[in-house]
Amino acid sequence: MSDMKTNHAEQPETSRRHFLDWILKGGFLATLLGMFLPALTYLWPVTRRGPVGGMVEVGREDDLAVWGAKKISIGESPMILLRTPQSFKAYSAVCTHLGCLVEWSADKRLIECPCHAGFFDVEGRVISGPPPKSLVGHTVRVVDGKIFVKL
Amino acid sequence: MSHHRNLNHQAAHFITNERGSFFVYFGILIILLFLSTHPLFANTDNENQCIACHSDYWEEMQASIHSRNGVACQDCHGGDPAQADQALAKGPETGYIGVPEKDQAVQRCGNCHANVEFMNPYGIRTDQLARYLTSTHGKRVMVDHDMKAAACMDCHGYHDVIAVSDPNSPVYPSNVPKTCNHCHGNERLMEPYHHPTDVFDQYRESVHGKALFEKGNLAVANCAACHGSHGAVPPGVKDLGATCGKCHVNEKKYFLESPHAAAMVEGKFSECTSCHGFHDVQHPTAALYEKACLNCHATGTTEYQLGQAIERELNNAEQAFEKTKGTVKQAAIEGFFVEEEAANLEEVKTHLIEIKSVQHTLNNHFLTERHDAIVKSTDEIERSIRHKRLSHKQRQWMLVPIWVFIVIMVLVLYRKYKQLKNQKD
Repeated sequence: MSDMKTNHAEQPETSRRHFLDWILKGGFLATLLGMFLPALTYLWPVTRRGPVGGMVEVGREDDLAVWGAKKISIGESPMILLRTPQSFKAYSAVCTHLGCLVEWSADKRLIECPCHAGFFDVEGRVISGPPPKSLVGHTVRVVDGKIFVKL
Repeated sequence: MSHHRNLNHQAAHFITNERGSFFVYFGILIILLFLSTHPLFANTDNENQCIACHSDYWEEMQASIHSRNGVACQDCHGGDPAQADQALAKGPETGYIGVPEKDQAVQRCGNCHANVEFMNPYGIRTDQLARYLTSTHGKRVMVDHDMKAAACMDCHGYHDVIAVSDPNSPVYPSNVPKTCNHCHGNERLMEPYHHPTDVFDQYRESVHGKALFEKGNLAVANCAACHGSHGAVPPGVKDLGATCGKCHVNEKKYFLESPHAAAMVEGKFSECTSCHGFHDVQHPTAALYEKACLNCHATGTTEYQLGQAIERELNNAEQAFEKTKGTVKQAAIEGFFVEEEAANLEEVKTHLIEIKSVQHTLNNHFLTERHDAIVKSTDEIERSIRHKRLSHKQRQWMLVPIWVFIVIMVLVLYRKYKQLKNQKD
C-alpha cells in the first residue's frame, strides 16, 4: 500500500521532469534558430544580388534595344539608362533646371525634360532650354550580359 | 704653364661672353622689329601725331578692344596721323571729320563691323548695322536725324569700348538694363517720345530682374532679350508670345491650344501680358486666376468659374505634394527607409511642375487628369509610409512574446536547476 503511494508520487514527478526537459529542448532549438536565421538572411542576398564595388545591377543587356531607354531607380536616385550603338549610358533623371524627371525622346534621340522643354544629348549635355548644366552621369559596366550602374 | 692656361681660359670666356652678348642684342633687335610691325604697336606714340594734342583720348583708348586690334584715331575721325602739322593732319584730302555726328559714327562703325571679310577673323556677326537700320533708334538717327536717339557708342562706349563678353562692358547681360536706363530713365530725354521712365524700377522688382541682379542668372530675360539689341523695337501685341516663347517654350505651346489663342489672332488678347504683365512680371501663383480673369470675365461667368476650378486644382495638387513631402521627410528623420517613396515623390514633383505649363491650355480635362495623378501618387506614398509605421509598431509588439519566452525559459531553467540540485542532495 505504501509502495503504491510512492509510485503515485513518483509518476507526476517524472512527467513534470519530462515536461521541463521538452520545454528546455524546444527553447534551446528556438534560440538556435533565432541566431542562425538572421545570419543566413544576412549572407544570402550578398551572394545573390547585393552591391559589388558600389555597382548595382539594373537589368540585362538584351532587355534594352539600341536607342532604347528605361527609367531606373537606385535607392532614392531616379536615373535614366539608355543604349547607344556603342555603349550604355546612365544619367541622373533629375533635370538640372527645376528638378523634374527627364524622359527619353526616341524620335529626337534626345533626353527631354517635360516641364520646360530642356533637351540633353546622349552625352547628357544641354542642347537647348533652361537647364544650366549637364545631367550627372554614372558609370555603366556590362558584365556577362548584366548591366551594372555605379552610384 | 698654369698661368698661360689661365689666360687662355679667360680669353675663351671673354669670346664666349661677347658672342653671348651679341646674340642677346641681336635677339632684342629682332623682337623690336617684330613688335614694330605688330598691329598692337602699329600706331605708337611716335607715329601717331594725334596723341601730341589728344593724349587724354589716347589714354582712354589704351584698354579698348579697338586699340588692341590696331584701330586708331583716323579710322573713326579721319585725318592723317603721320602729319605732325595740325593743318596737314586735318587737311581736306585726309577725310578728317572731327567729332562725327551720330549718323556718321554709325556708318564709321559699320565700315568695319558690317564688313564680313574684315570681321571674319574676329568671329563677330556683321548684321548689326543692318539690324540697327530697322530699329526705332536707327530710324530716328539715320532717317529723322534725331541725334538724341541711341547709336552704337551710347551703349558700347566711345574710346573705351571693351569686348561684350567683358563683365565691365555696358552691354554685358547684367549691365544691359542699367545701360538702357541711362536714356530710358531720363525724364527730360524721354518726354518728347512719351515714354515711361520707370521701366527699370519695374524690371528690377520683376522675377526677371531679381534673377538677374540678385541671383546673377545671365540667361534671364533683360531688355534686349525681348526688344532686341541692335534691332530694338517695342514688341507688338502679336510678337509678344514669340518674345516670351523664346524661353518659355512649353507655356507658349500649351497656350496655343487654349481658347485665348483665337482671341489673340483677332488682336483682342495679348498672349502673355494680359495675365502676367510685362516689365513688372512676377512669379505667378494660382492666385493669379482670381485677379487676371477679372480683367475680361465677370465673376458669374463660366469662364471665371473655370478659372476658379483650375485654381482649386492647382492649390490642391500643391498642398498634397507639400504634405507628402513633409511626411516623407519626417519619416526619414525618424529613421525609416524611404528611398522608394522619395523617388516617387520626385515623379509627383515633375507632374506638379508640368501642370504649371499645362495650365496654359485652360483645358480642365487635361488638368484634372494630372491633378488626379498627383493626388493618387501622394496618397500611395502616404499609405506606404503609414504601412511602414504600422509594421514598425508591430515589430515593437513582437518584443512582448520574445520577453515572455525569455521569462519562461528563465523560470524553467531555474526549476530544472532546483530538480537537479534535489537529485544530487
